[in-house]
Amino acid sequence: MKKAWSLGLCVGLLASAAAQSATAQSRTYTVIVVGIGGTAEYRESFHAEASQIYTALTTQHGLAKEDVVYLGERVETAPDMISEPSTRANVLRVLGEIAQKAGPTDRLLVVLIGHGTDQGGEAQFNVSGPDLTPTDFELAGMAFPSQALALVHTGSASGGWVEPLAGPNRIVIAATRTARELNATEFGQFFAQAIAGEGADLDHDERVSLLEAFQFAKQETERYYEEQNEMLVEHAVLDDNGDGTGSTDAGPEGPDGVLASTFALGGPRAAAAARTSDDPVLARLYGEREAIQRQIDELRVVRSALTEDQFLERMEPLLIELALKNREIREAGGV
Amino acid sequence: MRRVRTSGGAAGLAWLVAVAVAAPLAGQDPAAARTALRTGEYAEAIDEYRDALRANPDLSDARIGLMQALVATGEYAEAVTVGRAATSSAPVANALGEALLRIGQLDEAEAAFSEAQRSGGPWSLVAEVNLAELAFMTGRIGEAMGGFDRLIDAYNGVDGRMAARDLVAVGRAVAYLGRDDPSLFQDALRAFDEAAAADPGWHEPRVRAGMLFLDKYDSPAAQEEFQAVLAENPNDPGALLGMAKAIEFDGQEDARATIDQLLEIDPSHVEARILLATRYLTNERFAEARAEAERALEVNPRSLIALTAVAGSYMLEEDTVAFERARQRAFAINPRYAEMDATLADLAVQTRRYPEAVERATEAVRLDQSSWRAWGLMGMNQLRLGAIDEGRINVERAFAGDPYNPWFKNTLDLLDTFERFTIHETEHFNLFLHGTEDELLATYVAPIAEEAYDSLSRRYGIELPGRTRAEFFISHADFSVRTLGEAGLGALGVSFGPLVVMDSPAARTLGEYNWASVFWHELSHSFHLALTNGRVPRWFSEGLAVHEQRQGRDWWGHTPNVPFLQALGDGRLKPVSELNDGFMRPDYPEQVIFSYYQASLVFQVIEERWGFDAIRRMLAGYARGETTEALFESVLGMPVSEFDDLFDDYLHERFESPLAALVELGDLPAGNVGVPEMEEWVRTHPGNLIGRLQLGALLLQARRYDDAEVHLREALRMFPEYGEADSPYWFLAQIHRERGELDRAAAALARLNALSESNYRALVMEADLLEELDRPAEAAAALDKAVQIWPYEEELHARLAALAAGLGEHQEAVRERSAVVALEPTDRAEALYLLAVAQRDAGDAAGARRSVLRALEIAPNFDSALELLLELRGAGTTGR
Repeated sequence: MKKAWSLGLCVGLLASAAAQSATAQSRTYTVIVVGIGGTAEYRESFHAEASQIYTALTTQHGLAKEDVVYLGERVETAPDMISEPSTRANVLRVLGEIAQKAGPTDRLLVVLIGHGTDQGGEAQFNVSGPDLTPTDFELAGMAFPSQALALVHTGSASGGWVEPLAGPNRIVIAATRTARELNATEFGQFFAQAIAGEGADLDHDERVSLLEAFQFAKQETERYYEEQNEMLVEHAVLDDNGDGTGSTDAGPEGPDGVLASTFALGGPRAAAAARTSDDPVLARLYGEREAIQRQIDELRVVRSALTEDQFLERMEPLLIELALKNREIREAGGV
Repeated sequence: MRRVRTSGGAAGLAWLVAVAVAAPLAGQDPAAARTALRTGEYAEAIDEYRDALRANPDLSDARIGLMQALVATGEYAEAVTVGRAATSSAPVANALGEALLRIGQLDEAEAAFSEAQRSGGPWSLVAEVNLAELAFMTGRIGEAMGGFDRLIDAYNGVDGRMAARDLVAVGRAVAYLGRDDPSLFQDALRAFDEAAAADPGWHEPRVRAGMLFLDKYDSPAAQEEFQAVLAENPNDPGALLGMAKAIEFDGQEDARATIDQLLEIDPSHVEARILLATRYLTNERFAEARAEAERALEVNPRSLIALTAVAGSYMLEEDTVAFERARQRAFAINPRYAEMDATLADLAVQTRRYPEAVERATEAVRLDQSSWRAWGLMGMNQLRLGAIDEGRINVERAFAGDPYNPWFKNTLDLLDTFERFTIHETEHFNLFLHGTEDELLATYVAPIAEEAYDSLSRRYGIELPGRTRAEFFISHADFSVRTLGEAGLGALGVSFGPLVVMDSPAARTLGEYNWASVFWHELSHSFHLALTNGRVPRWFSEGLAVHEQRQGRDWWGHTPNVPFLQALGDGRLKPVSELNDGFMRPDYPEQVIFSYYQASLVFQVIEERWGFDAIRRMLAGYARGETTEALFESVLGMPVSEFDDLFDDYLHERFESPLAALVELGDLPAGNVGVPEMEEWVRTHPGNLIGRLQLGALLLQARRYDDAEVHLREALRMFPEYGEADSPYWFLAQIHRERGELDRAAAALARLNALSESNYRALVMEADLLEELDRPAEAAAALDKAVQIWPYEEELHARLAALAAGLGEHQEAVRERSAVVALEPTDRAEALYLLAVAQRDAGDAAGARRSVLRALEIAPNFDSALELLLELRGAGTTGR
């Protein structure tokens, strides 16, 4: 009995997640904040990461330019992308403006790129003027009562942001496990690659979820340290179950990673699907495909209760059905 | 401090109230004589004591001092005579007993100790412990333990005052009692410490403490005690013996000088002789070992350790009749003498006879269930023979009885990690691989292992019994513990016969290790051990195993280098007749490595001139117990001394050119030398190999490629076999590459890689160039060698897979795609999909289906994988 109840809960969670990802019409707002570089080298690398994310979001992931805000250290570095300096006041004002216009099912992604510190009190993100703190975002987040919020902090001491910002419908990704990991991090460059490149689409659905981006960036960071023959001094974590404890091994089965796996960024197929949903034939086919995908997702939830052979035996017909449906969709001009 | 609980429940030692006092020697013992005795001026001490006794023959302490000085110089019989000349026997009876013990007169010694003990004089407690030790030595264990217990009672009854000599007696007794209660060893040490404090000029407490430390495997602490004694008395026989044992224990230096020093002071020293005999035995020089043991037996015909050494020599010579006779001689003295079989088990290990080690250890525990050493030897060697469960039980038992033993502790800790390993079965092997890399390594190890087995089985004409267990450790320290029980082993792999243990490539630095080559080497040993029942000498098996590596792949195995040539030129290589010493007792550390290569060439010469059958016949001869000398005569038709000359000529002829080019080595400019200085030097030393090489490398750095090439080609002409990282070929390849002569660069690297088994960097560069030259088959071959050396590079496997697929080598492509999957890439779905494609191309539809389904399990919307699934299941169908 207990097992059956537990299974039902999992399926319920998954269905809820599927519902969130299926809201193709909802908008994703993004705020990219680049802090003080300190040196020319860091300034350049931080901007390179931010611009890579900005470009990927506004092109391949199909986000509207007006929905992506880049606040940088110096506007003149890239005036076509950077709207304003990344002061604390500007960041909080922009978040307030988005809260004003965001619909109940819209999403907000905030990416902090720069140096973080923790001098024994609250963790800080270094910007020009007063630094940003988790409390700032906690307060700003209150203006988003129903929306999914994701904060990615790619800098040092970012682990100190996880516990204060954790909560229901919140995803927090930090480059370090604790606020005591104070060395400059490498995580950011790989997170930017994940958003921009193809390598992070680990489930090959032509979209990159925040979970995939996290997994890719974490693994590449570890590989980087290994290749440099250096000791790993940053341990990226993800928290999305609201318990305030980040997981280094977040995955689609949880305990952390379930929500982040549904926070997917556009992708051509999703964009095309959204554009062609007015075509009744394609709309039907997409619906049928989603139904198959749901069956597959349900089967994946009970994966651990089956042997590999049992699982693959049950999975195969669904996958063949899905493959054939994809062919039908392609023949009908869809993707 | 706590009270000692004895095994019989008797009252313990009242340490708190014990206030030790010095032995009351003053008054009778002339101070000068005693000082001379304690500082090792034994001749002077003997003279002084004799003078004192001439003046007053009743001075019993002077008589004892004289006897001690005579014993220290090996004049045991004279000491007995002096003792028997005493006007009153009781006061000197204990010293007389100790002298009698030295010459094996056990009954007389026991009578003397009994008299001393009964007399209640100042030596009565010492006599009591001597009696108990004698009972122990002759197998009367219960009686002995009762005697040791009485020492505790006596101590506790002494109301806090005890002489230093009595404290030492108590310490000795407590140490024996410690075999049933290991914590008592600390109390024994405390007794020795108190004795030393009570009589600081008397060295026996510190020597005893040192021996106890050594017995508990703490060589540094032991040496500290011995050195402190030797600083005051450089001739103290006990401290010298302890020092020699400690040096042997550490295995870092040669104890021979210390043993010789001891024998100079006491030429009759039985234990020193047996240390020498043991060295000869482990070096497989049986006659010399026996000669030393016989000299010891001339002094003490009832010496159990000497009889053990004699038995050991016969055991290793396979003379079962003489072996059993020697054992029975020992058992006539002590029918429960387990230490003999434990020592023989240890000796069997030293000479790679692991089944015999188990056999001897089993016999030892049959004689004495408390022989923790024997339990440990049994367990450790069962583990070496692959009997993991039985071995573990016995090592656990040994460790419970001897918790100070670091080898048992390390081994048990390592065994706890075995649950993280996975066994992959092949036709002839159980591959024991760490869970973090078992899928990856099994892909490579299994085919090489089977190929090596087939090749060696054909050459030697035998099959190995059962599956050989091959363990690969991702930590070198773990490999070392698995082999020796401790970290620090310099080897890369070890064969125990049915078990091969080695480093996984992950345990080594990239570019220094070719695991496949080492595996081939170790498996060769397994064949040699099986063919000879473990009787093959070390030099023979090592040299032949390197020779076999070269049969496996002609670029495998040890190669000549400059230090080897220098040793050859300087006459620092062992002749073949003494080559075993090059492994077992090297004159200098590098000699071991040189001996590997040198010995391998011996077998190259033998196979070329006499054929491989001669090698097989020699192995058969070893199995029959024949010696190397006899086998050179009977199989090669010449005395080994003649082969020494023949082989020396061969080496000098083979390396004539590089030897000539090393003559002027000593004049090379030192430090950071610039191009002009080096050019000038080479102008005046044109025939110097190192000079040419260094100048070539400097000119390459300076981008003077044409000039560099001249010198590098000259270095190559001098030493064409040189295949190390700074080979001329390496520099020439870079010159050609810089000039855009890619085919010549690739050719230089190909030659380099034909001379070296683990130059990963050169192999990858060769593959890069060959791919650029559109020579995919050769590029794939180079990459194949590279991934064998270092299988952890995902990109290399992917490249090799693509090349193999392009060449239609579908099985190889599958292997490489499997390797990528095993490396757990970030994009696992893609890796599985590509594996499925390779499997499909190789005709393995079932494997392809499974792989593509595993890919789709991760990424159900992966279009390419879905299409492949449709293709595999028949496009357009939905059923199975």
